[in-house]
Amino acid sequence: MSRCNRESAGLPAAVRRYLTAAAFVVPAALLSVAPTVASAAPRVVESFDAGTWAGWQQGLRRPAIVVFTTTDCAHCPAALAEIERQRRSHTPRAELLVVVMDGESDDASLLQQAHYRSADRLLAFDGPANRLRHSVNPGWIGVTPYVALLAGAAEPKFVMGVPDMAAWASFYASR
Amino acid sequence: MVAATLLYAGAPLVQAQHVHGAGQAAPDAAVAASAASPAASANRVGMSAKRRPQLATGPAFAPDGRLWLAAMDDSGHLTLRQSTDAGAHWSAPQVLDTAGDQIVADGEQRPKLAFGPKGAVLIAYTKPLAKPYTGEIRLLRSADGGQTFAPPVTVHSDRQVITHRFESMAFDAKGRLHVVWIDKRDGEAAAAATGNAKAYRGAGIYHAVSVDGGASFGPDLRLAEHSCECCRIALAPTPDGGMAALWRHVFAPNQRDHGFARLDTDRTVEPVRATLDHWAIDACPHHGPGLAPAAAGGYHAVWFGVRDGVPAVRYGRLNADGSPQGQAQPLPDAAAEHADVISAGARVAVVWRSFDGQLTHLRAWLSADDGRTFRLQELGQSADENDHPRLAGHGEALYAIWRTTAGVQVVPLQP
Repeated sequence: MSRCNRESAGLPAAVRRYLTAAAFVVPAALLSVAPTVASAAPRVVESFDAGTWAGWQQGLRRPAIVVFTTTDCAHCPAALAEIERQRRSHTPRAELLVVVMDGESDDASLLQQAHYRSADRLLAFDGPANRLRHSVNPGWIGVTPYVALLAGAAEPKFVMGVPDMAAWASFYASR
Repeated sequence: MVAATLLYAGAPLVQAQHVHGAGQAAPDAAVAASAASPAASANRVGMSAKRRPQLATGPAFAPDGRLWLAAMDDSGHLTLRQSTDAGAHWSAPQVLDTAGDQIVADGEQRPKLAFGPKGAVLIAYTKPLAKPYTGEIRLLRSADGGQTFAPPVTVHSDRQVITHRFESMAFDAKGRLHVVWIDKRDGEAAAAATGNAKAYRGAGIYHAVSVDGGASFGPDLRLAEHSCECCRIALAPTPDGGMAALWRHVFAPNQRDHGFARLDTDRTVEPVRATLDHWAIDACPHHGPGLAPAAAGGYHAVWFGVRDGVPAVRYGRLNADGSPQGQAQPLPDAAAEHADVISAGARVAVVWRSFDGQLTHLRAWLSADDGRTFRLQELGQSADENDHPRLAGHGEALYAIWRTTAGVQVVPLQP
């Protein structure tokens, strides 16, 4: 019997139930602080605005995978599943950020979409889409999924669609 | 300076302004005063599914030369406006009763407007359903020249909760109404039969024909299998009074070139491969093609693709059967996007938008010799959010219609 179990064995049932529940709550709180080891789905939809991408170049913990998508991108659910599969097969796990270009930051229904749940953070464009896309990569005119791989101190590598094995190998080698 | 006309677009509805030369009349006060009042009929009129601006418009010239515009207003209602002077002045908005349908009016999905025999006016739009990626094609029909519209009906007979989206609509010269759309019933059936969601490549192109001006439709007909899933479909009249379609296809295994087929068939056809980019990718380009008849036969086409690693919007000529003719040319603008093409005889206009980081430019490539030579022209620019450029013509007159959050520009095209 573990120390925890021995100590709780003599407590009232209600208190034991409380302690059991707390044992699940505390790790979830820690997970929200350390997203690179999280498996919890995003709880809020954040705004991706004119300063977000530039800020990420300096402040985003790497390695990170950013997937730009839309709500009508039929390829994106499968793409996100593949990206997640790749992510889970490597340690430390890269942070996954999903940006919905035609969503709204107060749209709670985005949080219900199964294919977004693997993301550590879920964001929605907040501002004109063309400007926000341009801030990410001027050469990108909206193909989705659009994936940015951020590793080490290197410039982001952009991929239309799911990165191929060579791109993944390069990404994980440089992180 | 290119003459252009500004019209309302955003809220609050403002005075129509125009910069159309001397002698301009005062804006129609009714335009400013007629901002849709949604409160009284919010349960009945069509409402936008989203809060970001739904700027996509459906312009068309009526047989009498009036320019009509179907668009969502800033309150989320589907409206119609008319202009007797090519956009210099506009009527008060006619708010349409769409029975509470949510409507998608963004980018590749825009309301479509068509005029048919005996005063028929048709408006088609996509109604998104609750399940992601699903929708229905809905149609409003007027039999009295647009004065009144019947309640919306669903065009397709299939009522599964699946993709029926990205419709296009046009009357052919014989008075038949063609509605074409992207449909995923075959993909759903394949997935159900095999247990593999990836069993079917892409989606299907389906169409339906009405011979009574949209009052009724024939059966859903599958035109082609394995189309791309998120791009508009281009329609153009054929020389013999029929209709042809051009769409982004998925040629095996995953090359997203464009397929061409005539609509005068009730069979599933293998589309003619109209472009040769050989762009192999599993992604959504969100870029549909444009198609217009060529005076010398065949067609003018514009499309976005990546060829040899180079992304570009390209122009090319197609033979009468849709096969490529000669070499495709990239537009003279590396940032070109969402181009379309229109023609009147040997006069051709390719119009696109292009963002430079600060401003979106509306640009045109104009030809007076059926596409043998072109000249580049800047038509306008905007710092505001904006729609894809839309094209409309009446006789020999060709126009670009471009909506921004500041208004609608109607620009005559003079190849």
